[in-house]
Amino acid sequence: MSRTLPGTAQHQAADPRADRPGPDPAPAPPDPDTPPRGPSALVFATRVWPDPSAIRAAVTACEARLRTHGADAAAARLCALVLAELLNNVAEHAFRDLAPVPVEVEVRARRGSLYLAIADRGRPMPGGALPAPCLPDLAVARADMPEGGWGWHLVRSLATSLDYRREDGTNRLRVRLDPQGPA
Amino acid sequence: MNLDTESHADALVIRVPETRIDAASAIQFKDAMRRLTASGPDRVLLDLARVDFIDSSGLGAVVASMKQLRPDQTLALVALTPAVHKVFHMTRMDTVFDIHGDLGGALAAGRS
Repeated sequence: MSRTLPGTAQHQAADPRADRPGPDPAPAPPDPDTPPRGPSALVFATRVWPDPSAIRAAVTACEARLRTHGADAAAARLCALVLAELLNNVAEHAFRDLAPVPVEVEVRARRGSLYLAIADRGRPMPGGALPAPCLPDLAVARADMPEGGWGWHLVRSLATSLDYRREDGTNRLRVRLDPQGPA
Repeated sequence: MNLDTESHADALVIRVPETRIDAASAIQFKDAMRRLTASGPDRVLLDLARVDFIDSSGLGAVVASMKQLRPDQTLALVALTPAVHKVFHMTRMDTVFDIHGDLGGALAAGRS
């Protein structure tokens, strides 16, 4: 069963990189372009061990490869940040107390859009779905300030669309990014 | 992680010499901040001019560093690069920290 949840880009008139912390969007129909239809360039592919040091190396390499491919600094950084958040989630949750195996990463480019595909054989997402949109409450005393809980908000805010499905013991996450704004 | 420090009359400036604060360095960053701020002055200024990548793990480490301070201590951020400022803004954490564009302004703010 798949769950597809778009980010904010399709539901705001402004550029998704406008960075305004607005309300989380209502769900919309699945994005048929994740993964891309028609030919796309495989810009980056790797298998990365789900631990922070390996993730850092993979994210850095991905950003550099995108620049070589011709992406501008903002687009490469957008992809790197989303990739970092998603891989950190896999490391922290999918493989918690589980023997790690490498995570497959592919980044494709087509007509200015970037398509990330991440596949891991860790635990499924709780409830078989992406987490509900939320931001931690900041109206708290300093001692109670959150030290996490922003990852999915960042990904949803930066992505045009997200798709998660569990198939054959594998988590498959696909993300479409449009660094230049809504497609 | 090695952090550089600079002592002023009424503030301790802590400068991050690395370009990333992420999951790979979050714990070391927190530990280094705790050691440096434990016996320091009330004002701590974290200079992030060299940092051009921060993810939610790095953000959490900065928050944790603030929570490690004494009740009378404050942590303000200085010279955020656009990429880092964007992450703070998207998570609304720019409402939690005082953020200064440069060190001169940050130091002056403490004296006014």
